[in-house]
Amino acid sequence: MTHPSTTTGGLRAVRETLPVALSVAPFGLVIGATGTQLGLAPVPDMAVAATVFAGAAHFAPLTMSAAGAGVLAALGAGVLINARLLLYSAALEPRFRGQPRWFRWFGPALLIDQTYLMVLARDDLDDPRRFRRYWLGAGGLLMACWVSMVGVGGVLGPLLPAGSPLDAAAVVVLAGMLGPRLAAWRPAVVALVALFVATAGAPLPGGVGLVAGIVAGIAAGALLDRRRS
Amino acid sequence: MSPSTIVAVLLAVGAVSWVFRVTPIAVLPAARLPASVRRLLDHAAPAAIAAMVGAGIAGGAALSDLGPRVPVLVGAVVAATVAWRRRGLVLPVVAGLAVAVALTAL
Repeated sequence: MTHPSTTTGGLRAVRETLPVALSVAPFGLVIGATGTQLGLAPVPDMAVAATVFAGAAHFAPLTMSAAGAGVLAALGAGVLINARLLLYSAALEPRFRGQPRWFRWFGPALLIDQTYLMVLARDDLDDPRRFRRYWLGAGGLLMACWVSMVGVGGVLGPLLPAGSPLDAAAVVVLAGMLGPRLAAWRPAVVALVALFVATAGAPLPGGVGLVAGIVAGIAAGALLDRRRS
Repeated sequence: MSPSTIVAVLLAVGAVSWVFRVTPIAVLPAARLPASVRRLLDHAAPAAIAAMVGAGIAGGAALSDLGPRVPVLVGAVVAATVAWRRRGLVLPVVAGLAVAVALTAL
């Protein structure tokens, strides 16, 4: 029999996830449409969306491929972007400690910015079963919505008229993701350095400018850390 | 890159991402991640997203030829500003895209 509190936890997860899913839907659509423009069929792109399950790390290799980047540069950019998942995973390790083995190995596949922040905002998930229900409910629904949006974007992509503002949409979505991170001065400096270097390096071939921007931003952050300590 | 190569690259990104997701939970205790590495990883996300914004604004153009990209630049600034003030992506994206499209049409 299902415990009432865990059922409530699952329903609550679904209720709290719907607005979050709505907020990431535009990015999923843009990624699907971009993939189609690069020759990817919607179904493989949906499979990739479920595997990567992270918008920016999915989008970077697509844009770098469009810019003529090589395999290693595109792969490196995606990996660098998702490296933050190590931090999230380390922070959530206590929540997974008392869980079944299958959940410790496959539950983290649902770890993204949104699920991390949703769990951090809850102080009633100490019970392992309750946490598991919430995690699977929220993460599963987010993944289903995300993959669906990428698929819809892939189908609608070819229908977009020539000159549609798809490239502007992609930049605007990324800027919307960046905005909240600029509230503190340290990540703001990191972002501005990365943005300037990537903009200045945009004419360079093979996506070198993008990678240079990422590396410059991280280096700026490391310098700030050194000055503080 | 061919479409199949792009899919292969993305699947590789997904595989490495799963390793990132699962390693501190199922393989290594969290405490073993050095503080210096934690700080560097903390900078990776804003740096990567900002670099993609910069590359997207430029669209392959040199700094001196960014004139035609001003609508995208202004749209990005509007989206970032709205997102800074409000949680969620829908309103920032709608506002930024509306500004970019309107400026392009002028």
